[in-house]
Amino acid sequence: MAHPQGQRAAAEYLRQLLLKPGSYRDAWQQRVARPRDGVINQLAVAEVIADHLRSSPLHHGGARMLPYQLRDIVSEALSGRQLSVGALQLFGGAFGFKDHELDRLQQLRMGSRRIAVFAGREAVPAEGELTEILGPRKHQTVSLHDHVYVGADGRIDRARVLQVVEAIDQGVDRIPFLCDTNVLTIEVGKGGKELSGEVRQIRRDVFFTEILLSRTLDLGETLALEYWVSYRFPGQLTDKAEREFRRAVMRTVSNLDMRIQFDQDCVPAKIYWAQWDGIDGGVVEREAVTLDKELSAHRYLHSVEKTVVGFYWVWGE
Amino acid sequence: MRGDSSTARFESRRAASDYLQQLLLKPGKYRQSWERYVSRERRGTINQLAVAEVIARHLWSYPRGPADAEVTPHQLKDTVSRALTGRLLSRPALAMFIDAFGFSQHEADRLWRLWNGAATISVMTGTRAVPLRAEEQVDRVVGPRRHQTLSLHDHVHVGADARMDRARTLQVIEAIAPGVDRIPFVCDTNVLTLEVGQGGKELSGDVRQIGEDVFSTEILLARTLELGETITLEYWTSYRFPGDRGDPSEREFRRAVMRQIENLDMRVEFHPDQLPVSVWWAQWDGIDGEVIERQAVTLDNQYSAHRYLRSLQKTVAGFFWEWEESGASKTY
Repeated sequence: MAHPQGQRAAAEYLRQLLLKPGSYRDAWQQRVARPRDGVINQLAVAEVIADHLRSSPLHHGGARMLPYQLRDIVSEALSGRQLSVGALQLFGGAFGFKDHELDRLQQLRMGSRRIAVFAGREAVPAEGELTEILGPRKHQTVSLHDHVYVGADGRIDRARVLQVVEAIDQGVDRIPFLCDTNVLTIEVGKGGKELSGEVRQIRRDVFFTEILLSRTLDLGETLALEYWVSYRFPGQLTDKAEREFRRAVMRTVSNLDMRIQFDQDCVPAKIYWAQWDGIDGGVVEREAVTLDKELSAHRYLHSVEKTVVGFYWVWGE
Repeated sequence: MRGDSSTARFESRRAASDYLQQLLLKPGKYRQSWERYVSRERRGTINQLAVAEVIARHLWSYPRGPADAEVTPHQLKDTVSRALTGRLLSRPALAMFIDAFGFSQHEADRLWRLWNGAATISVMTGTRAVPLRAEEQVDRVVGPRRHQTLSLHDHVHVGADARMDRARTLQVIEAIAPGVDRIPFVCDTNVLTLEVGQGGKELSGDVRQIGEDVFSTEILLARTLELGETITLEYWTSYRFPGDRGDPSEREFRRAVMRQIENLDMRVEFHPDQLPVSVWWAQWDGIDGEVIERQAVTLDNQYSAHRYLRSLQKTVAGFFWEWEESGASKTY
């Protein structure tokens, strides 16, 4: 049974998939004379679906469907008013969504609160300074693994995070999650019950939500959390923001393991491990690293305190 | 763990003492502070007089009272010795160590939390994880130690048939010798398969039986590590337990640590159709020994139990559980 809020959340994710630079957006934009930034042309989307039905009709009449006949289905789906399983299959088949994307759409549609979609229209502007919004510190990270994958198109595609947190206060039942606007979704796994449901935009380019823990921690208790993050980078490979993966540590993180793996079809010419002078500052230290047989680079730090560290890379000519 | 409060206090002071020792032994500025007063360094051993020297010099600059200005390292040696062996680590003594060595805020916080009895984040030490003969057998096959574990996550799943089904392990290792291209993997006969993921190139192909019920193989690394270099490894283990619910060995998941590992996160998740009536976190007196300490734990809403230890040394630790005798399981 679809959940009304779930349908809206799934529709938001569907819109973001179609707006994300890449093959899905290219599929409908090539049918539009003058695409407008951030606006999905519904007729063009209907044309993609109609073409798909003509080449592989799902049911009687599918082969003869005209784009204008599909426009209502597209409109209802993208607005979240009516997003059926059938409609999701239509979109998935026509645009060739990946299994994990289809799975995420289905889970959102069923009302899963374990996934959050970070999108401008969902975000609630927050007032006050960052520390005020985050409140007093109630946990610390005793172990953190960031494992990142860069796809064949040169974009940062996804990250898997394994984090062990320790409560430094009584009754810790959630931890904050901050990210920039390049994050498309977060999905919680082990150790995370669900997301708080409210995504707040606390700066022009920073989103905030909370991960609710699978149990409430008392002072000194720990919990292992696992979550996955997907991204929507524009694909401007010359932009340095698309050629780096960094951790900005406002307080302290112990035992940080960062690993970045590249697709074999898109391997950087050079890669560096670096430290930055804050998130807006320049590189203060760097060290060239070599990719291993899995085309990955890795660094481990016992402790990171009030700094920004990570990898950046340079593509070949 | 043990109920009585004086025992609990002793345990917490000992845990703080263990962590204090690790901070002083860890390569870096704390170790350098005392090593500069040592003429002949002994690997892995803290020179207590040198530590007393650091503290005395600190007290000369920042005296707590008139007597501190003229205190000598020899006068502090007993305090240092008692603190580092865990016999007596008083509040003023711990404060003195923190100030003298300038431990970072989070290290100082952790020392105080351990001292105050935070039972869940701790350091576990023992005398031996496996019998001497077995350790010698393993040493003979595995050879000298060439890596150390900096971080280890054991995530285990117990299936609907009450058998331990599979474990996923994420491990960060550091080479302590040049040219480390493989690490040993030692397991008992209940392990059915081992599959390597990121960080592991392949298995050596050679599975050897090195004891009555102990197998050994090697995981070849994705790259050869030079001294001090690290790599993250992921691997999956599947099991073939007979399914005897009464057998204690089928109701426990343990890590036997012959030397030392840091940052152990262990998580056991049960299938919702088959939940134990009780689960304990425990320390054993070696792999063949009895439980020497245990603590009941509650499953979370994912039917899992978790523990994190900052360090584990020459001991056996893990979870054990009990099924309801009738075979019916508890509803959470």
